Amino acid sequence: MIQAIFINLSPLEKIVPGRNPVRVPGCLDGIPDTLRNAAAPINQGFLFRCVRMLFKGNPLTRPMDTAWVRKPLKRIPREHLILGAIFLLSLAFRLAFALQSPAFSPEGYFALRQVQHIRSTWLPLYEDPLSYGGRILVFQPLFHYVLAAASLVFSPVIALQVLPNVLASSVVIVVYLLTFELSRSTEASLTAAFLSAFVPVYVAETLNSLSVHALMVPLLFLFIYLFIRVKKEHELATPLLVVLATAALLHPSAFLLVLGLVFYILLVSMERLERSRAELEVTLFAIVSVLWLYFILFKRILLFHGPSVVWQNIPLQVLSEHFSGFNLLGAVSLVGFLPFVFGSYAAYRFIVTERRRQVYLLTGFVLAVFLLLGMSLIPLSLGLIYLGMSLIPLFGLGYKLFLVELGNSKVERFSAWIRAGMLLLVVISSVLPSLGLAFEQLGKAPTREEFAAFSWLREHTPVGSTVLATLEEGHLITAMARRKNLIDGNFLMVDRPGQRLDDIERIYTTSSQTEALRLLQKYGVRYVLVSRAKGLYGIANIPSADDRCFPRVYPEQDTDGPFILERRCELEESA
Amino acid sequence: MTAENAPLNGKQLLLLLGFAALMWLLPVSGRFFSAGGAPVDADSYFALRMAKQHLAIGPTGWDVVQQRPVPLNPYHLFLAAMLRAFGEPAGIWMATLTVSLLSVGAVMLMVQGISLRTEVRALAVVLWCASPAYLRLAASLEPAHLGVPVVLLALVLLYRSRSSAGQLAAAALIFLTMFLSPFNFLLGMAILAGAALLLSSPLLLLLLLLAIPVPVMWYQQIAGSYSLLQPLSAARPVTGELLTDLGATVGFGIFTLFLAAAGLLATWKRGLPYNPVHLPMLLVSLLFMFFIRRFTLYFTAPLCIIAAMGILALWLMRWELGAVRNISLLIITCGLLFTTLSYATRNVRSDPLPGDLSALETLAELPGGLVLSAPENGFLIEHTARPAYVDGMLMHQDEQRALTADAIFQGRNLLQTRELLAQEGIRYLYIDPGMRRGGVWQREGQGLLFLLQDADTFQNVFSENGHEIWVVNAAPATR
Repeated sequence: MIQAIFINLSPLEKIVPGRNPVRVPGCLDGIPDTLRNAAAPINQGFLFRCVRMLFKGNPLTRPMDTAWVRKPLKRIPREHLILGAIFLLSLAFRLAFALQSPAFSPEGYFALRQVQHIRSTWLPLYEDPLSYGGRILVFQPLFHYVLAAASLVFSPVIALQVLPNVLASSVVIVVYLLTFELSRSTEASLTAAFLSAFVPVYVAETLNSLSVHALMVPLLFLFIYLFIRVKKEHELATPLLVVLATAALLHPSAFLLVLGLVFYILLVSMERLERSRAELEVTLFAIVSVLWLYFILFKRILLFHGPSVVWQNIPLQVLSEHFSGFNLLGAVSLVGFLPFVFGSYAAYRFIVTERRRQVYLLTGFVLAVFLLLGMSLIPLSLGLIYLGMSLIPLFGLGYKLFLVELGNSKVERFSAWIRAGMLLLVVISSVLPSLGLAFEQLGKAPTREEFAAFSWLREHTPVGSTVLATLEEGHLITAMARRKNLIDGNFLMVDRPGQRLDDIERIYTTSSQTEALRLLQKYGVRYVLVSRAKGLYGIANIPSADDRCFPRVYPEQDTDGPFILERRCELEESA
Repeated sequence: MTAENAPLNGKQLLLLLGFAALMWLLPVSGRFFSAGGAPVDADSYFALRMAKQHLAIGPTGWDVVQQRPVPLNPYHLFLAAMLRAFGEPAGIWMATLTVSLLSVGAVMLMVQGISLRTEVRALAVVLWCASPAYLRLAASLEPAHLGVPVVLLALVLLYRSRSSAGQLAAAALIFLTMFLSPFNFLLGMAILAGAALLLSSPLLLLLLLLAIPVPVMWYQQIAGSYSLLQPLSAARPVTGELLTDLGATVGFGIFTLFLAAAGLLATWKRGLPYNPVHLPMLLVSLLFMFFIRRFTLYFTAPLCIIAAMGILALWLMRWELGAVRNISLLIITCGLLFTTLSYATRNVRSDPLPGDLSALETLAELPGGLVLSAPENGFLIEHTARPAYVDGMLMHQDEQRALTADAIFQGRNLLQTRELLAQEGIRYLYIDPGMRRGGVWQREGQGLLFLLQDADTFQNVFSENGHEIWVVNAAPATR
């Protein structure tokens, strides 16, 4: 029995025989139909018919301005099923790790605090009394609003642990669409989509850190996809603008997009390729809108820091740490071996010989990432995420070339084995490193002992106390212990954060009690948390600590875990 | 002349002048509400004090308060005339209004002389009136400001008049501006040299050669070792002073630069008639970036003309995506407005503020004596008729003073500091919040701030909103 699909047309449209609207099928079209087909039994159900009658009235008596058209059920394309399976696999992989622990990585606690504040006051926390002892925060809260809204509708677990991973996994769909647009090869697109689910650095950065990049990365690549298509389909201009506006409101890395577009236009001009007016107009719009938006949003910090705001006031010690462990082999393993190799080959082939303009777009993006990485304007991990994701559609192109060459070669009869070998290579070069990094990321979350220490601080210390901790623990102090910290990862609008870092290191490592007391008094610190400082500075305890000036207040017994010291001495100076 | 590039008619001119007056009123009214009508920037107080001195004792070329020679400056004479005609504070604001409207007139004359569409001419004037440079002209008193309309007028004369009389008039105007500031002196020489080469005019070359020695001798003789390269020691780097949106004192708006780039691209194909002087002139103009604040002030007007061309080019361009066109143009307009309003707001909140002024009033009531403070406060202190140990001029004329001041500020040895204070005859210390926030000291208890605890040497006589006046007991009572 053929199951019918009912399509409800609006009252303004009437079905006239011979004049049914014809739609040109595009790559996206199959997906809504697939979903509609999947929901077909529901359409037929008794409950649905009742609901329909409630809203639309009795079909026998309602005005005949609504026509119902029967359409034969379509088969769900196999590639869409596979894509769906890849998406679910990616999500399952992520959730398998994310749901192992209720804790987030330390940097995620800033977002958590914002979400909590938005839930209670409907506003982000801009005037933070705890961070750096009290300061103004300048940031974009859109992602926090999304999480807060989700936490109002769903449970906190779904909102804070499932939703970011769902958003991060959606990159699979975007990469499939983009790669299909470039290569017109289903197999290459699906392989690229699979690879995108397991870019090691992307998995690590978005697994359990409530990172905005979980949404930002899919949005940026969706923009690239729409940008490629807007040249011929002008009706995509509006969704393109909406995606750009959303990305710009989410995170300043939208500037990467603008820079990438500028490089693209320059490359196209230099290569004397045919210029598309639509692309030029969108680029112009992207430049002016992103510039204007950021000048409004970040006016305060632009005036405070001046041009050096591009380095986000990150201390030199932290910047050099970001890049100190960098080497090419490490970068390739974080990005993925296959995307790097095939993507580089495809970029070379399609720029030098075939001169395909879409490849210039991705190349422009890659150039922008290299430029910003080279000037230390973006963290290494973020740069590698965008680099990796940009190489994957290029990988798709390269893989398609490889398949074509394979089909024309003498080893064509072994192609099934070769494809299997490629899949194995994908697993070894991308999936396994992703697994390893996911475990490593889980290890960064606070332990039970640390949670206990934070709880003790919250319950047993005066409300306005300042607690000394390392940079990594800064957000944990404010979010979990709800006490003032000395330093955390938000460096903007902070005076001399490098000096603070040096002072913190000095306190943890100096054997001079006078020096330690002077520095602690300078920042008004009352309590000292010794937890991650042990590993960072290679200490078991603060060298200058003694029972008189720095008695241990938590825990009562000596343990190997975190402990808290209280400052009970004051230093006085005379002229 | 076609209808498209017809000159601006009377109604249009009136509208533009009205707009110019309104834009002048924006920062001025803000200053009245926030700072009781005090002009922006400590340098304004030097000009004001010299103008008042000219009114009181006539133009003498001598700074009575600081007891030093000061070059006679046409701007101080102009300001003195305004104060005589309108009194204080009306004279101050009439002076800025006059300079502002003269600059608008000069820009109007400039665009009338170039073959441009009427819309571009009007837009150029509007962009100029909405620019940070124009708002700066309205709110502060600096000699270089008078140079803006005069230099623009001279350029119009050089461009439009090919006769010797016109060239002579232009040269006279430029010669006059050379006495306003070192930047104007160098700019005047560059303009005369460039015009002489472009117009192949031996007359201008002769005038240039005759004109050079006078201001050079004037600066050398009267100002002593006054450094022509003063701007190189500016606290903020060039990049920090280029864009208003990044905190520049007077800068270019980012959207104005963007529109200017669009205007340049649009006119690129039209091309200019080839002249080998163009490139060297462009390179020389870039050298003026060493005087970054003056550079942005003077180069804003030509930039606005090119930016107006850019707006028209974007408006007339054939767009494929209508929605993108409309939103882009709207955002550019909003961006221009944002720069203007943001700068005007910053102007309103600039120093000196009521806290500074009330502290200075207290200082004025105390017995006479030399006052030590940050060089940025020097002219404000002198406005109260107290000599400042260092000010914006002395820090370049007398390096030893600047070093001694630094030694006093940073020293933690009470005996040495007392000795220095007594040796230099310093009677008062004036400390404002900016000095504690990184201007002089980076943290509490640093240097002199630690020594202030000694009640025998330092006595606090005023403390309000972070402004402090301390009497130093190591020095004689009067100087």
